[in-house]
Amino acid sequence: MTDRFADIIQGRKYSVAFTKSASKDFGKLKKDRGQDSSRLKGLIRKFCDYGGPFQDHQFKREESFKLDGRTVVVYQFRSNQVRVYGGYIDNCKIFACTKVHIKKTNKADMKMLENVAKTLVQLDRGNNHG
Amino acid sequence: MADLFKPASPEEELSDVVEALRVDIQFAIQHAMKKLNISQKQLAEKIGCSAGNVSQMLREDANLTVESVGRTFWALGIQPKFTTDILDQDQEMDEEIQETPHHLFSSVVIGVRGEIERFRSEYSAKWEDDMINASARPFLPATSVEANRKIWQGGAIATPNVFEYRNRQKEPA
Repeated sequence: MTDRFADIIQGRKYSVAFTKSASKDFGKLKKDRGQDSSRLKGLIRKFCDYGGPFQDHQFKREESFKLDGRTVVVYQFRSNQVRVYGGYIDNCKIFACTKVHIKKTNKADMKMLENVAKTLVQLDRGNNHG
Repeated sequence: MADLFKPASPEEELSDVVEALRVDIQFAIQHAMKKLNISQKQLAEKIGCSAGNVSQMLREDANLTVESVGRTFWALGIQPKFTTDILDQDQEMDEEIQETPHHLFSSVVIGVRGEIERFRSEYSAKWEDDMINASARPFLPATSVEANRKIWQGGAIATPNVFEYRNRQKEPA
């Protein structure tokens, strides 16, 4: 299971896993947006241990897609303009983060969100993606 | 596996500590609000500030002061607690000591004066009195063999513990 991901943060309630590309992008944040990176770490750790409650400006459901005959929901952790997109896989045991993005417009990039949803479906099938 | 979250520099570590503390406080407030079913507006009324001020307290750039945090928890009717990793560890150790069977105590643990006194009622032999009188600080077996020899009047065992003491007691006089 773990070879699908570059990093896994384990908590009492959930594990949050980063794909290789998401992990790489998150690593870049540390240099450019240190405070956002630190805040996201704090939010993700809280999510791992408690699952919630969060305010919409911390963690929220972003969009849902019908893929492969089922509904895939994309969520986001956020700090200022930085977004970490992902969703639940493995019967909600793992929250997989597949995309780190610095948002520059108010409108959501639907194509990117759909790609996130597709990656989640592939990860849930157990394929090796990054 | 979670190297991604490990700080790579002292600056990053500092930023992580500050943000984690901010998230901890905000999360505790949010959790209490949800548990007590209180809206931001209702909380603002109890605190005596505007709803915007409460909203600002929960944002990324919140400037949280001891005064504002204390006032918020007071309004929620909750007693906040502040703890650290090291404080939690000490508390866990105290709980372990209370739960651990006596025969499992190591010499290091028993070397602390308080722990010896806890054992006094059960083991009232002379060596204990000598040990308490001679050393009121933690026992360091690896570096104080000579000191231990003086305390341990038998002289043969450098790091006395309850286990060994029990064995000695069983030996025929």
